[in-house]
Amino acid sequence: MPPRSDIAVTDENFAPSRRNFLKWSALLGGATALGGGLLLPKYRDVEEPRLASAGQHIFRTANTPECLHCALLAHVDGGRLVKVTGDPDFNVLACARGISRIRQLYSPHRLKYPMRRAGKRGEDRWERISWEDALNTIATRYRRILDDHGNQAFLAFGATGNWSTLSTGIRGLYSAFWNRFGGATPIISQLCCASVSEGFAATFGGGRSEFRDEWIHSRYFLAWGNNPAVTNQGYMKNLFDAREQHGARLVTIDPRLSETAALSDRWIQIKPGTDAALALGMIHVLLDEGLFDHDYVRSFTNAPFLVRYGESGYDLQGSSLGWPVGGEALPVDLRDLHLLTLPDNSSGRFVVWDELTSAPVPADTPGARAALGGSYEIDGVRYQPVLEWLRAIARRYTPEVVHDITGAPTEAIASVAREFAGAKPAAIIQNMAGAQRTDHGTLTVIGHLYLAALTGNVGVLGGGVNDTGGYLGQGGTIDYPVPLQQNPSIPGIPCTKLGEYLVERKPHPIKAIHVAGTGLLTQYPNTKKIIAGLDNVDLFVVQDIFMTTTARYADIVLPVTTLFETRNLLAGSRSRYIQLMEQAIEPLFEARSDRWIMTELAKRLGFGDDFDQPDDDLFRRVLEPTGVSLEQLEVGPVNPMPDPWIPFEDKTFATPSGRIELFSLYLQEKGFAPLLEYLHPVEAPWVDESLAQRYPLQLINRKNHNHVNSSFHHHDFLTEIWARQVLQIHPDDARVRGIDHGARIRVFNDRGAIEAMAEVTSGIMTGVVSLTTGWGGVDEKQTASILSPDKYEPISLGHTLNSSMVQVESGDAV
Amino acid sequence: MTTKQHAFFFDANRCTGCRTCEIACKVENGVEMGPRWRKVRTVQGDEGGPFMYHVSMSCNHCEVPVCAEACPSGAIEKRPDGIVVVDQSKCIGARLCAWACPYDAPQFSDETGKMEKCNFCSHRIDAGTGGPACAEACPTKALQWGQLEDIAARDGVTAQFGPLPEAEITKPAIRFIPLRPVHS
Repeated sequence: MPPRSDIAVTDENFAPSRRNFLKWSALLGGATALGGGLLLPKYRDVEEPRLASAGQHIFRTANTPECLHCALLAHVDGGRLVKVTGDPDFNVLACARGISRIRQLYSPHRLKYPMRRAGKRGEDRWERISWEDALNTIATRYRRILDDHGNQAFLAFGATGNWSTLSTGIRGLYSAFWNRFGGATPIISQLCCASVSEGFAATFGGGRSEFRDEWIHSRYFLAWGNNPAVTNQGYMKNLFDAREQHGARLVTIDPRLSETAALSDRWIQIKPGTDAALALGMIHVLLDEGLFDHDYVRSFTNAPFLVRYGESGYDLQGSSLGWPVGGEALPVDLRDLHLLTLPDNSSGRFVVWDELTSAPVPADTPGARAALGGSYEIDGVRYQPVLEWLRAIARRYTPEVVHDITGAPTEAIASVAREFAGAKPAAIIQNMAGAQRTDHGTLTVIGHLYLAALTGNVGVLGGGVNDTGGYLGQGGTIDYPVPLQQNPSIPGIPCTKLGEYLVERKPHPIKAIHVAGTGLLTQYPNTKKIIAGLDNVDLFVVQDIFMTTTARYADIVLPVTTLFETRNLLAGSRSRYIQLMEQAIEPLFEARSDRWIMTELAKRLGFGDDFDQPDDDLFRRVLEPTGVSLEQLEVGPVNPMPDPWIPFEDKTFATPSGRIELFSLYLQEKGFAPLLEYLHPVEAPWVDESLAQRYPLQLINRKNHNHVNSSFHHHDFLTEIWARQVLQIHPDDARVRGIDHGARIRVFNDRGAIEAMAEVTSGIMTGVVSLTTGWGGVDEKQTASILSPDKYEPISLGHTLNSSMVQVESGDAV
Repeated sequence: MTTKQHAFFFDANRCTGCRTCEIACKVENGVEMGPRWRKVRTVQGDEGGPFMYHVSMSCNHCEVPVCAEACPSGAIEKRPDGIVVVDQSKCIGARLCAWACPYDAPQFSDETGKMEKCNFCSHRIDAGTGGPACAEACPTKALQWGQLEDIAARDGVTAQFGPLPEAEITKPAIRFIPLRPVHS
């Protein structure tokens, strides 16, 4: 290939080094060399650890954040960790983040001893205190707040920074602490996967499906609104093998040329938040061309169930011809649809129209052939099968209409729908997508589930919607490390509304916040408002490995150990495997584990006995429901799940009908439309034109290879490569703002402003810009969550950070 | 001409740009901040639609090591197995190797004042404990290692693609599979 002038060859965050710049100069188009980033002191400046033992050992441990939970081998020589490698026998091989943990352990930036704030909050002035002083102070003040205001005055955050059993893991010791404390104000819904969970609950009756180890069996991959090449990089080998060995196709739907899109057979750009319209466009093609799996749909979904509109029914076939195009409001209220049922409460109470006898019969009648179309009069009332209604809704989403809404090429909509229907098994890689962290993200998820169901891909090896999961996500269970108690329920705070609720003291004043393993001020939206809300909080305690953006605002910070310095258990929250994490070295400095800290606090608060037990006794309790023994785990990671794994293999679903419910009774009962219909996001330029005059660009958040949420931003090997927050912007949008590639820029909206460096690239849609989510573990001026909306998704109450608008300008004033 | 030549293989269709190879190299060889024996570069452009791919590259242990020819102190040697190594005791930090190398492989260490670069993890090769840490750490097997004659015989490989310098200059011991185009 001859050199071309429009190619940029880059490293270190797209900034070529001077040498590369000269050497590969014929190929560089206007890229600016930018050095810098964080000036971190050197590794060797760190004081030597105490020696745990002599000689060389390899210890097993695992990467604990909410990623792939890769098994790690910690190579220790004379009590010093000398190397970290991925375990070559594990199902996935550890990435740069996992093996760079050696730099986390010996980082000079670690918190070394407990400290008390000596300046204003956020000012980063500290006074060293003893553990005894720190723990006694916290316990005394917690007890006083408890006496004066009760448990509702507390908020506790324990997220995925250290997502393990004796820390903040699912059913972990940290949650058990707050239970035995008597409870605290709960956070309602969640930032990550609320809309996936609701979509699955609405359509499949709950559950999640993950089949990354089975991707080799898939023949078509639709990576929809997420970037598995980054977020599932360890499993991508299976996808690549399916392509190489079986000719599987990979199609990516994303507003930007993500790492996955770049490797795809086809890349389809759509406007953020319009995914459900694309799904309906594809559904229209499937139904219009008869490309759906008739037998599957008839047997395993409620598509044939008879439904009536209002009391007397509706002339659907006639009246729907006059319905407005997709994206415009329907003249009917879908909430007024009612399934015809027999007067009993069984799962077989639903009724279909039997084409053989031309009569209504119970849905599960043997030998009947349920109609999937048509209109039927029963006792003077008009009924249609559910699928007929879906057909009428989807018919408004012609390729041209979908193009107008989404920006997707007209031709692509039908061709991808046909390919998807024709390739079996076909997988939609959903993976808690950024596309579901949008204003109507639950509808996006339901669109995915509809497509998988209509094509008969659910309950099939290598087919279906690949969400995320692992052992716990796929129905596995573990116990808490200590017994729980019953607590009175306390009104909660919606996860996206934390700032507003703290500022306005809703639903009641919060007096103390305790944070472990959570980037509270880099993940929760509208972050400046949360910082303002902290003024109403008397005591803010943060325990972490580093002085994070969040820790900087604390009143007391407690230094936490890394995963090499403590024994722990990682019980399959995002991996199928359960893993023992061996202690490799003695704790450095005065760092202590989350487990030790919570146990010491529990003792001081009078409920420490159940916590103050040997680690292995706690592990045995946790493992009891899994059937896996600690002895097995001493040998290596154990996968308690069937292999291969086929989610929903028996094709029975925990819905009222036991079927996939295209017509969702769950949604109807919650007061939402029971059938899929696209709704525009509220914060979008084509919806809010006055807002668009000030903030015309749609902001989406992306993930990079260098971080998991807010974790890993303190690893110097990673910051050497990824130095700064980078905003991706299209050349057309950059040009009108006078922004050059590599320029320092300011990104802002009514919620705040942040600094970034501009990556001018045609690999993102015009009108859309992208920032790295979670960035700001080190420098809060680069924290994208400052810009994120605190509106919640109406159905799931989840995060809508990808339905956001901003403006961008040159300069670094924040 | 040697009978053996250790070599790298890189498939752009399997590289996600995760940089695990880079970090594995640093961790295995104790490379401090600054020098980067292996680098993943991102190539982006817009011709027939936007495209992007990654290239992971270290020293290519060239059949014609122009770095060794340029070294004034005879510090760079090509071993019989093809691995090109820098003898730290002979290096005077003249940096001429860096100017000669078209791949930007030799790295100057501020700490030692000398040049250093990928040695194909020769300590592992010599001890029989494995191959280069970078290739062995690659989660997707985009980066692999082996003997040049085997790798050069694989389907679809080329010594040259995209923006890489002319392979004829140094005859690098690496073969690539270029990215298949994306249809947008």
